[in-house]
Amino acid sequence: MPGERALRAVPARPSDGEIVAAARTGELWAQEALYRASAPSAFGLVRRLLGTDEDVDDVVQDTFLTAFRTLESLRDDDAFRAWMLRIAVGKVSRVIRKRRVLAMLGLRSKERPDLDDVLGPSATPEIALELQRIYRFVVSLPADIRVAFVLRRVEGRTLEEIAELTSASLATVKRRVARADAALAELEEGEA
Amino acid sequence: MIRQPLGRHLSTTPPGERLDRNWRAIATKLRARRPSWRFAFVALAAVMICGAVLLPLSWRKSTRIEATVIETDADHTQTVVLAEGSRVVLGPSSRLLLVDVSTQHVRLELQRGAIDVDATHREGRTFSVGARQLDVDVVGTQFHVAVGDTPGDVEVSVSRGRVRVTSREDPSHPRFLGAGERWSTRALPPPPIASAAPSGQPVAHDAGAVHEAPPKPSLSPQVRKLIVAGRFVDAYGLVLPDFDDDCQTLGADDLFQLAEAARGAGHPRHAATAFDALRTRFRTDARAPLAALELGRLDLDDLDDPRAAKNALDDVVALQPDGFFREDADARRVQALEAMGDHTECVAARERYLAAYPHGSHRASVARRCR
Repeated sequence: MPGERALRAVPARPSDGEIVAAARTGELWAQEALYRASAPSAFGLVRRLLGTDEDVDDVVQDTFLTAFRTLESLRDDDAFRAWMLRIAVGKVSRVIRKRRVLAMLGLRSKERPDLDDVLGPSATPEIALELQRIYRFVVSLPADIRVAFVLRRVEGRTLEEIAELTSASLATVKRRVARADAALAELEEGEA
Repeated sequence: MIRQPLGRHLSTTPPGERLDRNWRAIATKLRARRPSWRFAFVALAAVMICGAVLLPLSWRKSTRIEATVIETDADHTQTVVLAEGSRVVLGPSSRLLLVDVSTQHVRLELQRGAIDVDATHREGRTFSVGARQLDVDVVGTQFHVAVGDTPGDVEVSVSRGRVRVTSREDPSHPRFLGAGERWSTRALPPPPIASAAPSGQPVAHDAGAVHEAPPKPSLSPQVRKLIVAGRFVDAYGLVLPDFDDDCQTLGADDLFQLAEAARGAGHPRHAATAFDALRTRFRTDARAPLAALELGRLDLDDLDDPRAAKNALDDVVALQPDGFFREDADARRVQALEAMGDHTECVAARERYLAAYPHGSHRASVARRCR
């Protein structure tokens, strides 16, 4: 019908892939839909990887901005969340590297993990202590090793999943986790 | 050393207001697109065009531009002075095709956004602007043309002089607009359109040949512009007088914008009204499940109405049983049942969530409910 006013052409009851496709064309509602559906995962992962609340908002915002601006490179539209989390892990690694450099230059105090506000009710005193110990330990690790170790010990991810999330080979991930385990064992021996 | 995954003992799900705050920051940055190489190229092209069209008069006669695109981003306008002296100002987010520009003939095609034209009067020169299904022909005047987001939306207003508006589907019935007159495919009823009477005086008559589509109301460009700029309080102030009526008449996209404006301005009840209208009036629209989820969240977090929240969250599942928002809705439903004091249902919903989403992003917070 000439001149007929029509709603924007969006599919009814879209699948995840169709929402991604709409977001790719710049539809803000679709981008918001993706954000709403996957932001809690991103916040949780980033918060647990960083060990503090500092920088979490920046990393999450940066993650979604990168994701939405590079959506063309997402091959499987149904895998948005996993793809976005990979971006988030990369951003976290960069923040950790930056923190370490600033600390080395004396421009920033040493990291102090802050878990008090996120310890859940299921965390027994023993678990709380273990978490505090792990987070105090990882601040001394290089970014890549730290990320792999936290993904393994805190997140409980498989080595394959870590390889996927960090865009590293399985062998590299094994090496990183093993190095962290060895460093932690050494630390425990020293404390004993 | 404890070998079990320890992350499950960390409660890292952010509160709703933090998610909202971050989304607003992301949306603002997305709307205010970074200057890209493409924009830089377009800007350079625009500069070159300006240079070309402002060449000395002796050169102008041979100056001719064909099929050149000028585009503006969301934050900028662009002024183009044509060789024959006319001035065209592109509004933000606009795209204008210079189909053919010479001292004898100017043909422009507005593909997106809006332009203001101040056309100089030149004997023998034709000046026309195409916009969707319309052609606007000029004889020395100042006018404004805008195309909306939806097919068929065109608005023409004249500040000075006269223009002729012709439908490409019915070119034999041109209409004329005089100074101070405005015509829009969205207006209801259509503003009077004047035709050239034998005396030369404009005579108002119906818009028939040009305006064939049933006009529907829509958010004004000003309100849309304010929302895009993140100025929700200002946008909300403009839509407030007709808010309830608008919720019954606007389309899905506008309702979503309306809800965002109300929410951004700190008026959750009105935001809920708009989301509710969207999910009930546009059941098959892609935004309906998200609107139902947002309604549930507002009912729970801001309006203290868990029963209404539960209904909205049930609707998310009804609209899209295995969809994108199912996990969010299931998690929020547990929260709503807890707030309603329905312990038995809450426990059942909680256990269903934990079984369905063993690695769900709301696992920690859901596990704490209904104890």
